Order: sequence, then C-alpha cells, then structure tokens
Amino acid sequence: MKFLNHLTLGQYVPANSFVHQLDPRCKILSVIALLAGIFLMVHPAAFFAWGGLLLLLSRFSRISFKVVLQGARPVVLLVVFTAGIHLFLTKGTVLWEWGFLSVTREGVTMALRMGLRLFFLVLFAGFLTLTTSPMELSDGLESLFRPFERFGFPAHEMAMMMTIALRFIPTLFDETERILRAQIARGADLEHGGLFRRMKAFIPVLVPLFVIVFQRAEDLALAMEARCYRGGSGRTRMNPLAWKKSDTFAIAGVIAIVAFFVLLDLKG
Amino acid sequence: MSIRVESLCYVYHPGTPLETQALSGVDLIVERGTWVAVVGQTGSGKSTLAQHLNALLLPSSGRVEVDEVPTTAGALAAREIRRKVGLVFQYPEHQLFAETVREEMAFGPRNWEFPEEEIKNSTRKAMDLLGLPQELLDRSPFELSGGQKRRLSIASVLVSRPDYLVLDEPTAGLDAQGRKELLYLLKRLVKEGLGVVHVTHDLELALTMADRILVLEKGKTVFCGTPGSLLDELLERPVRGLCLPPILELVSGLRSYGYSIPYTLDSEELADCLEREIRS
Repeated sequence: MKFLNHLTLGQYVPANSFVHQLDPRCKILSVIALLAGIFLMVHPAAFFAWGGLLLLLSRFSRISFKVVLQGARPVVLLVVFTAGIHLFLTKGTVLWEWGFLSVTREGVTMALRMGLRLFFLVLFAGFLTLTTSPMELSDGLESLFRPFERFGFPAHEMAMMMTIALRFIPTLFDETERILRAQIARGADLEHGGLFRRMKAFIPVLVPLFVIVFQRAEDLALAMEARCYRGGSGRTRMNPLAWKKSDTFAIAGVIAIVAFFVLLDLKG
Repeated sequence: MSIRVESLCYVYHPGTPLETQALSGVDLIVERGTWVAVVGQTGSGKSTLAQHLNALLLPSSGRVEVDEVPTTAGALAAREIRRKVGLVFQYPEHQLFAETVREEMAFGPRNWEFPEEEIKNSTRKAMDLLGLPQELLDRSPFELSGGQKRRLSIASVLVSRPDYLVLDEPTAGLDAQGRKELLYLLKRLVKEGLGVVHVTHDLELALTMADRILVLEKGKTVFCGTPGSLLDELLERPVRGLCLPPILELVSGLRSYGYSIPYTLDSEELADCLEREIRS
C-alpha cells in the first residue's frame, strides 16, 4: 500500500548532456530570458514555435519528452482553471451563449494565450531543475546574487537555506510516510469521513512530523557549528563555478532565439 | 489461532526503474504464545515482512493470514487485523503526538471504538505492565525521558489488547537495563498467550529468547527452525548473512585449544566451565 506519491515537480534527472554541463548561472539567466519571452507572446499560434524549442531542448539535454511533460502535471488543474476563467469572463463578440455563461471570440484567444503561457512557463522553468542539481543551482544563485551583498543582501545564507531545504524534502517525505504507517498501525483512519474529520485525523501525523523537523534542524545546526561553519565570508569551494565558452554561446543563442520569436510575434 | 505467511513475495515500485524484489517466497507461522525472531542484516526484508503481518503492506503474490482471515480481504478486515496484530515500529517514540499520556494511550482503543470504561482499565493495565507510574497520565509525552517514551509507545500499542505483537528492533537505542526489562516483559507476555514477532539483527538475542528463528537474506529464507537447530547448523558451517555471536566464537576458539567447554550463550556458565577446566 502506498500512502504518499512522491512529487516529480523539480526533480533532478542526472545525465551527461550538453545542457547538464552548462554553468548553472548560464542556465538560470537563459531560463529568465525564456520566461520573459513567453510572457511577451501574444498569438497563441506562436506557441508552436515554443513547443519546437522545447523538443529541441529535450533532445539536447537527453531527457525524454515524457519526463519533461510530467513536470507540468501538478499545474494542469491551475492551467485549466485559468483558461476557463478567461474563456467565460472576457467580453467581446459573442460566439456561444448558455444562461449566464457566454463565450466570446476574444475569450477563446485569451484562454488559449493564458493557458498555454502558464503551461510553457512551467515546462521551461522545469528544465532548470531537471538538468541542474540542487547543489549547482544554489551555487549559481549565490554567485548571481553576490553583487547585491554590498547592499546587505545575504546571498550565501539564502543559498545555504535553499540547499538545506531541498536536501530535506525527500527525508521529510520518508519520515511522513513512516509516521503515517505507525499511526495507521494504531488504527488511525485517514481515508474515511468528511473533510473536517480527515483533517483532524492528520493531527497525529503532523505533530510528530513537526517535532522531528525541529529536532533535525537543531541537530543540523549543531553539526554545522561543530564543523566550524560561520557563514559565507572566506569560504572556498570544492568545485568553483567556471564560465566556459560554450556558456557564452548557449546564452547568446537563447537570447537570439527569444528575440527572434518576440519580433516575429510582434509583427503578427 | 496463528499468523500464517505462505510463499510471500513483495516488490517495491513495480514497473518503475526503482523496482526491487524485497521478499521472495517467505513462509512463516506465528502461533499465539510463542516468540518468533526474524533475523537478518539491513536490507534483508525483515521490516517489509513485519509490515505484511498487519496488512500495512499487501503481498505482491503469496498470502498472509491472521486467524484464517487473509490480509487482502478488504479494508474492514484489515482494520480488525491491525487491532489483532500490534506493530511497534523502529524508534516508536517518533509516533507520540498527544497532549497528555492519557490521550496518547487512548488513541488506538478510540480508533477501534472501545468503550471509555474499558479504555481506562486497559490503559492502567498496559502502563503497569511497562512500569509507567499512573502519575504520568496527565503529563505531556514529550516531557518523558527517552526510555519512558519508548515504553509509553509500546504501551500505546498493547493497550488495544492485540493477540500478536510485532516489534521492529525494539531494543535499539535502549541502555542495558532497559533492554533487559523489555525482553523480560515480552517473555512474560508470551507466557500469557501473546504471539511475539521480534525483528532484530542481533543473533545472540534471538538465540537466547526465541522459540523459533527465521533468518532472511536478500528477501529469501535462509533458515527457519528452533534456536537449537540453528546453533547446530551455525557450528557446522557458516550460514549466509549471519556470523557467530562473539561468545560462541570464543568457545569454539577455546575448544580448538583443547578445552572441553560446551557451546553456551550464557557468559556465567562459560566462566564456570572455564574455571573448572583450568583447575583440573
């Protein structure tokens, strides 16, 4: 019996590919460029081009298209909801009417645009976590935020927090599953009853989980202190990030493609 | 009245790259009033087996029956099986959640809809058994000492009056005194008719306490029988996944030097024999 499904959103898939080997900073900046491009799209048809790009990326990173699409599973509901809202609530030329519901030509375009936009945003953003290990990701973010340290922004601390949080997600999943089983063994019934009853039934799971989380946090803090951790200043790295020529090419390529798409879209 | 496990197989994550065969063809019978030890190394499948005994996991193939009811007989049957077969997980103190010890103890029986009066009596009895004074009833479980927490979590399973008790490494992290007390208590409960399944990696413990021993390695049965026959087998040839307890190593070492000492797990008996041998 399986009580929890592991979430696939933001999972790293190791592979030896061109995209995997790029500098994380390059990938973060490229994703920002891609997301900005997607936000600027107006014509729903333009998303064919984006879909093509997605296929190309999946080929370059040696991650099967199926896995890429799976990343969007958690947001399908949100996409449908957003599209629905736009479909029914946009005013304009009426195409179809039923009671208080009406669908307009503008509504259809808007629904497609917003739905696809959201969908592609998630898919492209997913590429970042699919091809970049959490370690690299936080290293990259730290390095990108370093310039802001001058204004008091704690870049290193933020990156460390992120690393720790990501590191503990699977651990906490396992703990939750273990506690769930222990309480079910004591007769807890988590599957029956109304919403309120089921929520109440989760208290015996949540309380021990919180206790464990705090305990782990304290243990970790102690372990870090015992290893003389005292924040970011003066720390060296085992694998310092190195910006390569291929990174420059990749980001230039991405920006060129995004600019091309946007220009094409603006012209109609 | 017994738990019967017949050619039980279990596969984790079937149909994914993470697919692993955790148990392949395990047979086991646990009668009430007996102590069965399941011994094996980490990853041998002993915890997976333990979770099958109370329908937390359902077999991929083969069957598990508790008092003639298969664990696959639907949700209602599974609930009743979970009451009959108490399961104490490894580090059970991690399951404590209630505001008071009283509430913690009442959790299981309330889930099985025991009448309040019976819960009270059962709570008192279970706490007495585990040596927890009644004054603790209104304290928070989180204020108790480590050993008390462990005993409380075991009591909170026993309070539902199970007919069988499955314990996964119940002595892990206990001091010598606590360990001894817990084992003594279990022995007593077995005498009163409880069926105990003791999952452990400690062969010496199994050899001294159990009526029957099942040895698992990589999900397969390596040995199943009485401690005596396991001991004979161990002394004849190495059994896969097991090594001789230190005291037996010592005895066989001494024997090879010509001392005639019987194989024993009792250190005092060994000392007496050795003394006699040296004197003579």
